[in-house]
Amino acid sequence: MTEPTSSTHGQCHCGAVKFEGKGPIKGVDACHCATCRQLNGGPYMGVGFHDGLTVTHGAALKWYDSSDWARRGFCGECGTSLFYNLKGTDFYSASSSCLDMPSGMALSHEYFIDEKPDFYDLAGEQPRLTGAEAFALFQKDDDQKDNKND
Amino acid sequence: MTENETSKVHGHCLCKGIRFTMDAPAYLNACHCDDCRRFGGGPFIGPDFADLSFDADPTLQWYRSSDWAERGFCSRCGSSMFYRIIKNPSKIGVTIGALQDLPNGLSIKTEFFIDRKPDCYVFEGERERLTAEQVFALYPEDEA
Repeated sequence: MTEPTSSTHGQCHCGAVKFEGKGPIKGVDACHCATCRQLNGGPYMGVGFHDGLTVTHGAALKWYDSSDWARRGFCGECGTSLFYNLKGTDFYSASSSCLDMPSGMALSHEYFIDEKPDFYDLAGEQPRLTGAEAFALFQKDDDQKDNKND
Repeated sequence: MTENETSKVHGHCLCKGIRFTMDAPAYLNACHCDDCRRFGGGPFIGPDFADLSFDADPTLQWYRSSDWAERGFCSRCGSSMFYRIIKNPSKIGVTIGALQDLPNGLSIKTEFFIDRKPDCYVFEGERERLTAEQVFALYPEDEA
């Protein structure tokens, strides 16, 4: 046994969708990609749950295939942008604004910095990855996970 | 086009179920309030309220997010797009993510609800930053 099991509660604005993210929260990731900005209206601020999440109230939850590899979850009642999921995996990112966040969380990474428009910059010294670097990192994480499961 | 002619920008949601046209914005604002961040998954960035001309809106759905305001989103792809005051529904605040052909050199002029911003992010730069109290003082009839 390594870490105690933990989970974090989250919900949309109207409360029709409620969920529990599995595992500890290590930080907030920002994504500047065109799809995140289009769906969210600005940079997306998400928390990654590598062990998945459990939707406890999901009648209003809707999914949209945003690319060949990913889908987005939102509330069909209030429109809250909730989830990013890598299709066929347990990796979910949930919007940090929907989570009961622990205090003191910092920005861990910025992704798709090469797609960020010029009219905003986020302060800080967090790692900033291009789209290509982000895909390479996720591929590496996948490979390591696969090797671990071998 | 002459200098006096206002240029237009187009906007759409991710699946293009909602399409609209509006005057090109001169500047942007950001909002850190809880409702904006929850609706959109991050801080709201967008131009001032504007007149939008909808070319298609079969998937547009409105949700009453407070006593005084509504949020508009695409019921098919989930794009979080619009904000409007119930008393003045013809003026719509649109998120920057929906706008496609923006002019160069746009910048954020004001950040609203700075006291509601979580600590995990800060926008670089010097600009006007208003607390909730200051915003409500500026817009006394719950038009924040």
